[in-house]
Amino acid sequence: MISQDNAMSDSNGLLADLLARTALRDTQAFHRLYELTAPALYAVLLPLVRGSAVAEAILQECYIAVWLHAGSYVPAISRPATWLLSIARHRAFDYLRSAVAPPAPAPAEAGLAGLPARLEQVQPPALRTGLAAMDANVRASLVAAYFTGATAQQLAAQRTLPSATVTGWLRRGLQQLRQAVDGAAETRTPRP
Amino acid sequence: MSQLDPLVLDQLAGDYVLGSLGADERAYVNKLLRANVEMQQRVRAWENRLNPLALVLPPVTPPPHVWQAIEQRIAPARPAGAVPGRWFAGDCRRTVVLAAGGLLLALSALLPFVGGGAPQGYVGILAAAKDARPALQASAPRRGHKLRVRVLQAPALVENRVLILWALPDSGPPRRIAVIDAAQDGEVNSEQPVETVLDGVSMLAVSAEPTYAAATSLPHGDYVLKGPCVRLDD
Repeated sequence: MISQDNAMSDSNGLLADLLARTALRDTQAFHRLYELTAPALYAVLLPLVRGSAVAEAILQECYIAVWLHAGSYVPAISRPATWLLSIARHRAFDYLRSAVAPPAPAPAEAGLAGLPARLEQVQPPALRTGLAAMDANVRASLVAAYFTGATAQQLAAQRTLPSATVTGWLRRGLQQLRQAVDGAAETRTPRP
Repeated sequence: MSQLDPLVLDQLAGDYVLGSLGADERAYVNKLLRANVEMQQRVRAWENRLNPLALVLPPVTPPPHVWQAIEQRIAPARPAGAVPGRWFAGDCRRTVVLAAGGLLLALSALLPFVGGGAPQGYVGILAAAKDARPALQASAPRRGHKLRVRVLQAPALVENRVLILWALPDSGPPRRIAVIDAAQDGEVNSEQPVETVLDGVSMLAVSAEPTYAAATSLPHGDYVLKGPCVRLDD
């Protein structure tokens, strides 16, 4: 039995299998996929879109998209969790950048007050190391952007800073994460 | 688009996945992603790097009605129209007959679009629920992604709504074609090849979706326009 806490991260094989069966219009497999993954996607959507009604509507759209396009999932390109999270996040961003979305809140106001402690548990370790090595301002901006969907301009306004400063922090943070994650992957992959 | 500096592409891809782009920049990246394979690969790479972050959030079980709504939407489609709508509730037959009559006009309009010789392509004529007069003509050559949309009678537009053109296959759920501008004639790019999206399709429809649901893969509620679609063979 897979616990809900690690259902998305520790069950790639099962989720890939359920996606493959969903592509064949297996409704039982699709329901199981939903049971295992919807709680993680809903948890991501709630702070992003700041409202359970919108989060529920977007979650519904996500799984309709999964039902229709499960056949386009390619295991060699991404993990099932990454694929599903990408669908949910991109749909949330489409909503956030529309005229009807409210402005982005600070992470604490978005119900993410306990996030820093949880980030100390993030997997893979290279991602955790990359985050830990960042300047505090860079890390805070990057985490706020990722979890609340705030634009660089919105983050700058929240902190009364020039937009260019926050854009620079975000770019620097992304490059640090890229070096950490890709560097670790290269270390694991033996050169021919 | 392909001449963009790889560093700029990678920065944009990272910002896109992080979620820090504004509406215009995000729309620009979405446009790039439709045609630029390198950009698609860069976005996937950033998704693989960043999305494990999301798994630190404690799971939250969604309310049961979310699954119930999904289950209802994926249920096998009813034979005559997958989504219940007011279009079929009234004088359906009269509308179909009149709209089909409009197809004769549409054929003549299609000829210059598909090039010389006999037309090979698709044409649909859509009408509003309470008005049998054709409101929209959609036509397309057999191959490619382009459809021409001709506004015969602009439907009433509602603020914060976008109009989406759908193909209604004889069986199965509606297939999204594209967002359309019903205020003026124009061309739209189908998200799938025309031949694929219109395969086995005898009806087209237009739904009015909330702006935040512009990316929806299935229509909500009633169609504002609907009508027959035919394939023109050699």
